[in-house]
Amino acid sequence: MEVQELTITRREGTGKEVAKRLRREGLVPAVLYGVGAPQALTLRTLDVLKVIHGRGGSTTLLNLKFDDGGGGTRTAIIRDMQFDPVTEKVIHVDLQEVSMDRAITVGVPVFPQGEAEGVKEQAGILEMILREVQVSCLPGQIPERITVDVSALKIGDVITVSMLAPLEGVRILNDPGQAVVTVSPPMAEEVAAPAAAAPEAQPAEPEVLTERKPKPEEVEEKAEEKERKK
Amino acid sequence: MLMPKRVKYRKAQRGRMKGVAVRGSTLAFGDYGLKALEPGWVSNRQIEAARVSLARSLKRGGKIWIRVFPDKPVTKKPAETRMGKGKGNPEFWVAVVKPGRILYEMEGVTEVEARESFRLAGQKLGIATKCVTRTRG
Repeated sequence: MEVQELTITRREGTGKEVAKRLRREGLVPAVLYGVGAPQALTLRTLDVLKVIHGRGGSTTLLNLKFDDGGGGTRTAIIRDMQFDPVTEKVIHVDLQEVSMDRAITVGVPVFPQGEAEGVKEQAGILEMILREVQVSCLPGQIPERITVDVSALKIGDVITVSMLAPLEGVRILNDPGQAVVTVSPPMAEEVAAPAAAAPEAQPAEPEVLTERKPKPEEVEEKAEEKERKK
Repeated sequence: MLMPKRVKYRKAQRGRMKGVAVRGSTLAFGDYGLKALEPGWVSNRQIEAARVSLARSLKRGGKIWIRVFPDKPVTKKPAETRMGKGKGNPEFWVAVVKPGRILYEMEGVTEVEARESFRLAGQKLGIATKCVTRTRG
C-alpha cells in the first residue's frame, strides 16, 4: 500500500470570497475531518492532481504534514472532491482522517482485464455497469484497484459482484447479485426511413393533463342550441 | 423525434438560463461524453440530428446514451399575423441546457473515434461543446 505525502496549510477565512481568492492563486480550499473538530485547510492544486493522477481518489493513503511544522503527521484519505462542471478544475477537497486500526468504507475502482470473447469474435460491446465497488477494510489494506478478467465473456454474459476475486482483509459491501460487467450485442443498424414520409409528418401533440374537458351537461346544451337554430 | 407523451400544460414561458449545470454534469454511463460549454435551447430536431450523426460515425461499434430530453414547448405565431390575440401555437420542443451539461455519452470505441464522432455531432447542435473523458488509471 503506497502512502503519499501531502503538505497542508491551515486556513483562517471561510466563505466564497476567500475560496475564490485561493483558487485564483492556484490553491484549493479543503477540509479535514474524522477525528476531532473539522479543520479548514488549503492545498496546492498541483499537489492534489499529483495524488489523484491515475488512481481513484479515496484509495490513496495520505500522510498530511502542516507547512508550519505544528500538529504532527496525520493519516487521511481523500473522501470527496468537487470539480467545476465546465472547466473541470478542482474546487474543493474533503480529507478524512483515519485510524490505522479501524476499518473504513471506501470506493475502489473496477477495471476489466483482457479482451472479451464477445467483443473479439461477435463484435459485442463491453459494458461496465459498476465502475466502483464499496469495500470495508483497514486503511493499510485498501486495494488500489479490483481487476476483473473478462476474456471469457460472450454476448449476454454477466459478471456479478459475487464473482469478483476475493482480496484478503477486504469485504465487498455491494449486493452480491449486482452486475459489474457485461457484453451487450452490437447496435442494430438503422433502417433509413422513407424520405417522403419523415420530414412532413407532423408529430401528434402530447396529451395535456390540465386541459378543460366540457362537462356532459354543457355538451347536451350546445347540441340543443344547435337544433333550435336549425 | 423526442417529445413528451403527456404534459401538464400545453404552452410554457421562456424562463432564464442562469448559472451552470449542477446535475447531469458528470459521466454516468459511458467513457466519453459531449459537454455543453454555453447555455441554450437544444431542439428535438438538433438532438435527433446529432444522434444520427453519432450512430453513423460509429457504425455498429459503440453504444450511445442521450442525456437530455426536450420537455419544453416553444410556440410561434403564424407568419404575417398582427400582434396580440394570444400566445402562438406550440411548434417544437427544446431541452434547456446550461454550461457543463453532458448531452451524449458513448462507450465501446477508442478515444480518437469518440472525439471525431463528437466533433461531427457537436456541429449539429446550436451551442459550443467539448468532448470529455472519464479519468481512469
